Amino acid sequence: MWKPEQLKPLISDCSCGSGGLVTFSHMSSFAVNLLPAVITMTPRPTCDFSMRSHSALAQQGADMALERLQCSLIPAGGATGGSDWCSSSSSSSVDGSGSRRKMTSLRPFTCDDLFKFNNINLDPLTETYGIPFYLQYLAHWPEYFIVAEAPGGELMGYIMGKAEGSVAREEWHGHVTALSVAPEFRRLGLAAKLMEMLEEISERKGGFFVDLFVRVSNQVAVNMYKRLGYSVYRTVIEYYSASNGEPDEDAYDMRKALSRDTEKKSIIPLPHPVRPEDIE
Amino acid sequence: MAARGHVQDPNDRRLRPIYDYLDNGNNKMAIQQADKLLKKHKDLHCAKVLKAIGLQRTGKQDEAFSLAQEVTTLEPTDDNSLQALTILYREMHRRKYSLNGSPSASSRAGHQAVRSGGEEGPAQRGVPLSPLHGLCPRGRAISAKDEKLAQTMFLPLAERMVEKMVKEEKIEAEAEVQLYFMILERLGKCEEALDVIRGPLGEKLTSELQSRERKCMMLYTRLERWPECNALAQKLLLKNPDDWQFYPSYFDSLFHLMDQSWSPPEDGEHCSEGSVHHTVAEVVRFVEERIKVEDEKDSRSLRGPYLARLELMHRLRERGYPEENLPGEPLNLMVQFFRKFGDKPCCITDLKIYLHLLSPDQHVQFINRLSEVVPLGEQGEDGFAFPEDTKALQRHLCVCQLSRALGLHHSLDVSGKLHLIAELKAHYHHGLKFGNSALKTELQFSDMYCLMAAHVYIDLWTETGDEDMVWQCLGLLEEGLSHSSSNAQFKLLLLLLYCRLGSFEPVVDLYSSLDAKHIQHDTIGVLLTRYAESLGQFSAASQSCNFSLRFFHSNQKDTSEYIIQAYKYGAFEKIPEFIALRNRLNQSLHFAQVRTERMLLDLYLEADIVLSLEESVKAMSLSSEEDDVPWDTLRDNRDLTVFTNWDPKQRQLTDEHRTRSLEEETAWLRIRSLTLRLLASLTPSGHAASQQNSEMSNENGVGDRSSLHRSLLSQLNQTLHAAAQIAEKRTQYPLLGPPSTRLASALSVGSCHCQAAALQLSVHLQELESAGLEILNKSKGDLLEVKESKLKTQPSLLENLVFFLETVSIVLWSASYCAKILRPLKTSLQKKKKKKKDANTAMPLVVCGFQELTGNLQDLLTQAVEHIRGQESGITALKLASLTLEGCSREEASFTKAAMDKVQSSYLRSLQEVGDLLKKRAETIKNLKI
Repeated sequence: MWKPEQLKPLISDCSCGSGGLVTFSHMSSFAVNLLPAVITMTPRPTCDFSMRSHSALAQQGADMALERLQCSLIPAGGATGGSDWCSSSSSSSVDGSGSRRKMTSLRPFTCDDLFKFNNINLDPLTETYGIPFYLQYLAHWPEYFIVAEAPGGELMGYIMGKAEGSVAREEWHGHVTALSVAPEFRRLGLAAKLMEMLEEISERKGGFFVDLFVRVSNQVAVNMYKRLGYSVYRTVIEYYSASNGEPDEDAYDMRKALSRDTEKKSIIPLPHPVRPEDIE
Repeated sequence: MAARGHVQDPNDRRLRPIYDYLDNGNNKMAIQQADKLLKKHKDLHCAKVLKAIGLQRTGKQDEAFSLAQEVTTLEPTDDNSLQALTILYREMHRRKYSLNGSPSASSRAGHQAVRSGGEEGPAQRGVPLSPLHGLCPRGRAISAKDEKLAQTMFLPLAERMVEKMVKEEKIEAEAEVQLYFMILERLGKCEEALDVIRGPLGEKLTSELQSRERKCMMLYTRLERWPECNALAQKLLLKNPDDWQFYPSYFDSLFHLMDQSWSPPEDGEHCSEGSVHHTVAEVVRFVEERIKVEDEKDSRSLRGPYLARLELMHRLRERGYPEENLPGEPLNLMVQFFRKFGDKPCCITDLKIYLHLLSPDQHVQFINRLSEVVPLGEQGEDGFAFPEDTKALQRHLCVCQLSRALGLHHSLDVSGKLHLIAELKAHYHHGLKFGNSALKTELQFSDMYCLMAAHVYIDLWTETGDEDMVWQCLGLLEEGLSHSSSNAQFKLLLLLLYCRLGSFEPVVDLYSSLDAKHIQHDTIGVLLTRYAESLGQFSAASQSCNFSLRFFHSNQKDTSEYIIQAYKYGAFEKIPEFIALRNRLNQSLHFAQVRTERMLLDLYLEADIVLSLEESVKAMSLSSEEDDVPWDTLRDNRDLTVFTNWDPKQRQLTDEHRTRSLEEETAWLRIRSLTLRLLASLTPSGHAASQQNSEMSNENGVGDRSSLHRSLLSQLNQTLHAAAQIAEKRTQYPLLGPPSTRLASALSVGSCHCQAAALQLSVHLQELESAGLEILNKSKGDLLEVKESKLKTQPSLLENLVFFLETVSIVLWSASYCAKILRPLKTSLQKKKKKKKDANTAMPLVVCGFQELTGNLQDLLTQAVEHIRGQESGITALKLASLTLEGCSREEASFTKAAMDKVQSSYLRSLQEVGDLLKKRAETIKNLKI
């Protein structure tokens, strides 16, 4: 079961001046629209994350909570990533360096891809979310949603992520929400390539680190992420809810520091596990 | 109101009252105020626009439009005017849609809700469009559905607004550049767009990786600037020789340059992007160099350059260039590729698109060459040698897959195929040992052998008709599933075969274990809905329709929300995409199918007598007038490639198949949809809409109803005719392709025609009823009356009465003929009912219809008899004696009166005779009881 991230802190101390944007997002009456005052140019945020203002994240929290109800199964974050490394013995093919690339077209994920991703999503560890979930990511963080396409037109895999967190508290970071590769395109290092791209985008946005959640039991995925430079930052107790009476499963919150975090403060492991409601 | 605090501009102050009037809905005063202002300040464009808004809102669209045009030609650039123009256009646009008969927001939720989706953008939802300072036209420009309107109004308007921002250096955010680019691109101003992307503004495009490069490439291609295209592709491929998207651009640009006999300038750079490769030799050399780099690398090689070489060869051959073999011999190149990448599961996917480069006589040689590089262990007793690790297994599997793709499996005879199956099964079982410790969620390494053996079984089944083959196939797949419980391909194939065998029950669990949801209901939901109902599993059918419907109905709400979010977050490129997604879902063939089938199913399951048919129709808000299927824009969203398939190209699904399948699905849907609407038209509530809508209804509701019914019937008959032609083609789809519809069997078993005939009968019944009524109505009126002391006759009424009598007689004879046919039918039905002790007195439609007819005839005759009785007493009561005949002598008057008496008496006699006959006829109606 996917769990919504806690978004509240982001809103309170989001450092990217959201200026006029917030106001506009709440103005719905036509009369207001007509006012000449509205047209006056307002200062815009000039930081890296400019247009992707976080001001509407509160709403997003609600949406995600809704989404949570819809998702009957599995993963956020790394759990899906694990499926890319599905077979235990395939781990030998993962070198984690990201140097082996897939002969492929890497391009932004589009809505039409939703109609073609069955070969990827019919995997038991890959969750098919409701349309709103995908649209939300496409609307907020389109650059973080990348699909790989084979020369024959088959979709090979995709990564879906986002940028979030407070800059002031040095928690601004990239997050991996889903990563999945179709069975026939596994063992090519495609997941590593997609992770590399997400990290690069997060670098450009000035993130301090990249993080993801993965099932504790998904050792293949955990090892893969470790090879890609991720380490366990903390354990989140009963993060994954089970649907069929089995016990809920813990998640590792794994992180990799980006260049902005010169002292690698963001990845110093927490001594104690946390509960899902304590995640920021 | 606080927002107005800092208004400084004197014009703003002058305009304020107009805004206020408009805001308060006082449009007249707004117009007056604008006129007043315009007298003093002729050039205050905004006042004109505000006046136009007032006019628009008071219903004077034409005036508003011409005023708007006047202002537009003046090309205003001030914010107020632009903003107001935006609003005006938006209101005009909205009105246009409502005039065009865009779906009303009628309360027919559920079945209808989705139809309002096409046009309603965020603008209409009272939400500010643009996150960028409320500049609406830009949002409208990119979401405008009406291309003409976008090109002539919104886009140019938006362009001017952004240009102004650029001049004032107010563009700072990435999203703004993105939007500027989109506007230019949609206006076809590629040169300008290119300048933006390559200029300083383009540097702001940093979020998306390679965004600038990709856009440049797209524009170079559109502008046919092949040298730049070529040079840029080269640069990008040098950076990442594995990035497939730039190889086609690189090769295509070469061909265009050759077509144009392009040659580089004698000195200086080839083009703004650098050096250009304009000969095949150069391009081959470039690709070879990339391969050399890969070959010499310590780390594992990239596949891109190797495949690029095959792609280049394919393109050269396609164009008939003599240099086609410059890159090398296809067979050797493919063997080389296999040597390097044969242990990757995708090797088959990579190579299968280039197999046509081999000549048929090379096929066996090719497979033999590949087999040489597959390390297998010692041959066992059964003559099979097995791989010793997973990489060898993958290589061996790939050779099997390639053999199949080359048609080598298909050309085997029966015993050859059986031997092949034995070999594949042996490899499958052997390979299981590599996945002993696999988790439930993991696939077995050798699963694909199992699947392939199943495919060969299916070949045998379809070719020989030997059903034993399909049983063995099912067994093998079930076994496979037991070792690899999350293998979706096993489940899909099992599901398909069970359906083909007519057994739906196992399918339910298989499908649910696929955990298909949301959009997958649209792409693969057809696997369930195609068979559930036709195989008699009605509750499963209902359920699967419901799953799909729930998804489709939520789409409307969902997508609108995110269109607004995309505005808010500046993801402008996504807006047209979201709108397209919404349309694609709303126009989904599957959506229309489940909508129709669910209602038909409900009727079949719930409504077995007339009353409950009516109730069901009412409950479903089903209307015979409304056709809710977007016939011209139906989208086939089925994922017809979901089944893994290694068949040779000639056995694969073709575009022709897809077209035929859609054609067939559409025809069947049309039949079902018309049947549904015809059923609705049998009930009064199925016409509720026409009674509500004053434009459509007329006083004679019955006539309306039957004419609609008749038109639907003729549509049904036409569709059946067209469908018969489709069925005659007997299109055979590949087994793993789309399933055929129920059309052919429905036609051959005759159910379509029988249903059409039954529905035709009701038209006749309605015709009788309304025509009879009509004759009687035309016979009504006073045959003889005294008006203003003058005697008036209407002999035609008498004639009409006789027509009525004759017609009634004929109707009754026909009715009695029907009764004779229907009576035994009903009796036998009742006997059956009694045996089953079924309290339900359900009767076929035709019986009910007949009973309705006789009931109506009875009413009609009673009416007629009463009318005659009324006439009789009326005429008898006329006191002709009291009439004063002016201008006549007493003697003359007495003759006239005698004549009048004769007429009166004759009328009475006629009436009596007609009346008697009618009464007699009325009595016989009792005999029509069945």
